[in-house]
Amino acid sequence: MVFASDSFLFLFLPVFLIVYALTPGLARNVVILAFSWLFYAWWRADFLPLIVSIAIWSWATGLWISRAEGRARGWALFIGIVWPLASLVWFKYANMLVHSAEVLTASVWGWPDVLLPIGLSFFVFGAISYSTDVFRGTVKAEPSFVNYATYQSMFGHLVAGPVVRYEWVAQRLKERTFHRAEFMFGVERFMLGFAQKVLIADTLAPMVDAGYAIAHPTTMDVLLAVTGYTLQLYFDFSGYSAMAIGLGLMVGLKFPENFDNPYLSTSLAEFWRRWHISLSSWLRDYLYIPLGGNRGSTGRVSANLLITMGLGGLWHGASWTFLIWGLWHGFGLMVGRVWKNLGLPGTGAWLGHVLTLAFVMVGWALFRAQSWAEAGVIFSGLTGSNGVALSPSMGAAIRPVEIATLVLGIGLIYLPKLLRIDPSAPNPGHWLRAWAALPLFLFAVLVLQGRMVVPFLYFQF
Amino acid sequence: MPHLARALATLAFLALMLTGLGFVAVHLRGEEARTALAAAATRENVLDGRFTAVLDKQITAGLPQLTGLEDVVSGLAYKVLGDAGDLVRAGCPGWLFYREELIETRGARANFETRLKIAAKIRDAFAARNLALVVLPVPDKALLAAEHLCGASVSGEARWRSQAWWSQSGALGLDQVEIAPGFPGADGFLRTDTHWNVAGAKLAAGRVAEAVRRRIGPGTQKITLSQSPPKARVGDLMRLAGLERTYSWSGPQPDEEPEVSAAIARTGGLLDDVPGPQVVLAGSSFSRNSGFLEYLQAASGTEVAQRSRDGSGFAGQLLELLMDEPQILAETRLVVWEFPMRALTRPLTDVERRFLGDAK
Repeated sequence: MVFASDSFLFLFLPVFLIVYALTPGLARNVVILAFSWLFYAWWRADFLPLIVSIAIWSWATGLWISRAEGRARGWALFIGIVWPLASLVWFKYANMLVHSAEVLTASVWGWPDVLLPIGLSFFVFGAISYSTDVFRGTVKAEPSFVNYATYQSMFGHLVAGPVVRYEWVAQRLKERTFHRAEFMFGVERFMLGFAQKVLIADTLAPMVDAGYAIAHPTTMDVLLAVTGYTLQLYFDFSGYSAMAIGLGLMVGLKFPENFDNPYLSTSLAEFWRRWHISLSSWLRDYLYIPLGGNRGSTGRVSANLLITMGLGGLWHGASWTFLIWGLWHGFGLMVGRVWKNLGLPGTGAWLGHVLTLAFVMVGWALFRAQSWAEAGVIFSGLTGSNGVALSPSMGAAIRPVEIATLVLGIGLIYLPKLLRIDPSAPNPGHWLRAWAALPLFLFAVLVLQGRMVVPFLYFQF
Repeated sequence: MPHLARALATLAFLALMLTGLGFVAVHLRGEEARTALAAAATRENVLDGRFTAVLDKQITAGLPQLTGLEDVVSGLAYKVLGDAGDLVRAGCPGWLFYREELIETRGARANFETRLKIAAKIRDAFAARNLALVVLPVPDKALLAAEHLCGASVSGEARWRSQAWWSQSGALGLDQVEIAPGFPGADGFLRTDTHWNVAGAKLAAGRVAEAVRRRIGPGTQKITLSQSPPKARVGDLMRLAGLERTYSWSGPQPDEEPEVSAAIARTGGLLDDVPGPQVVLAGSSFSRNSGFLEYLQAASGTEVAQRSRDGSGFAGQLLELLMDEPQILAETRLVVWEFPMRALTRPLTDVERRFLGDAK
């Protein structure tokens, strides 16, 4: 089930809110948990035991880690994360490894493809961060299974993130009261997220698809498709994150912001502090720093960056193109760091912004490609090998409303800069968002009626 | 002030959800929904998500369709921006084109190559049954009515697939009917529909009838055609663009078309045991529009069994006949296989994969 669907808006969410409101006190966590498991089973009930088993495993081993001492504590952590991690490797990467082996050995193994359970990546990262935090002593192990499973399974972030950490919600899982203002702000965030997903991201999707389907795209075709995808991905995922944050607020759970105007960044390092913050900070805290982080020689730090970003790329999907995308960013971060360490002159804000955006968009061009061959077609088109002007194929594919949406999307990216406001940060006082939320939401519901449901892009990760 | 806006928005949000829930609850208690859900409520369906897929459809069906508002949005987009939605492109004033004919398809060339293989396999299947086959590829409206595109772009793929089919399918030895030469161009198509009009259908049917007579001899049945006076016909492209209810102010105006019907004089035997038609028409929606079947019967003097299906694509209906209902072909002497050429480069369908033995 996706948030932008009739089933969610007109059955699941209202029934949930009614039952939740009628349930007293902390029994409300049971309601969240039951509805979250129902939410997951709506996709496929046969995968529900998998996420329930990971929740039980992480909860139980969390208690074990907290009570163990010495070497046993390390073993408890290892066992705590091995099952979630093994599930992720099996479901997400088995197909890729087998198909790669088939190519290398020029043979066909008749491998029946393993189906990837939706949201598994987010679920597993939540489990790993919990076990590690208990091991480090930064959080106390949660004695209540219901509380722990509620944290891990809450339907707001269950299938497409953000990667929520236990410490962010621990206090409110144990005690929370209803705040009307918070609820209303949650509704506003949900409505605005819904609108940006339906009105911008989904409107751009056909143009992007058409651009990537062209066999011999021109430079202009590629620029349109990649710019469209750059906006589609941002408005899709930041829209989803806003909805998740809004749903959390409706039930009194506060999730941190996941995006902070990333396309306004003036360096790649800044981009990664602002894009998918819950993931980038997870990679920093649970992978980059344990590898050594910024400590050590330039070579060592560079290796840490490449490993972290490479694995971060692979987390997005079981494809070598994702690995190369991650390494592309690792390389960019490495160059930026060496540049700074050498004391070379800075680029200045505007040039830095343009270079960063260009670097990120080249990365998205690869990220969106479904194969090496498709990536080759796109980059070949970008270099002008098929001409520069808009091709008849792209001309046939694009609609006036898509061009208008593209312009609108670009405008919205720069609006915070122009108006000096921050549309993604919780800013309860801003009148524009408060008044715009309802009409935009109603228009989006209307538009959704005439469309097929478009899944969120991050469902595939 | 933001607090007031937020309070109003929250109330409206909750009211909308609860109203929607009310409609859904009423619908789910109804006979239609309960029957559909009961039929889908098996253990396997619940486990693999097919039950909730049925439930999703029922939930959507339970909600009131805000067609009035949707129509206004579609009408305004067409009138102001010349935008006809995801699936349709606006050409000259009053003319609509199916987007699929204009754009490129992912993997178009590979899909085309596979379709040539399917055509060869179909030819062999008919030869094995000693059945005659007449093939009618229908050119794209965007190619034959190109003068009404008014600047709307057409991908190179659209021209390529037509040329490639005629240059490469010759080696298959199929008995094909080409209708582009001598076709009345735009006058053979409906403005607001992807299909041919009665003039186009009549010309195509006449050419196919020649091929039918050549293969199984002239027919002897007396078939009388009649036409109603022209009346407004809202085209399928108007419906796809959401313009069927707002055309009076947003445009385009519907086509004016007569309806064609055929009366067949059947002479039965001693016990009125009339033999079934010996010609079967297995095509797409082109075969079901603008009197194509009726003109074909009249021109060939032979009753033709209509086995065409909307959305059949390249050979969907023909393959289903061959694989799932071969008994229908038992007493048949000839099959007319009509397909729209725009389907040549589309992604393969499940039935095509099954026919090729590639189904997983």
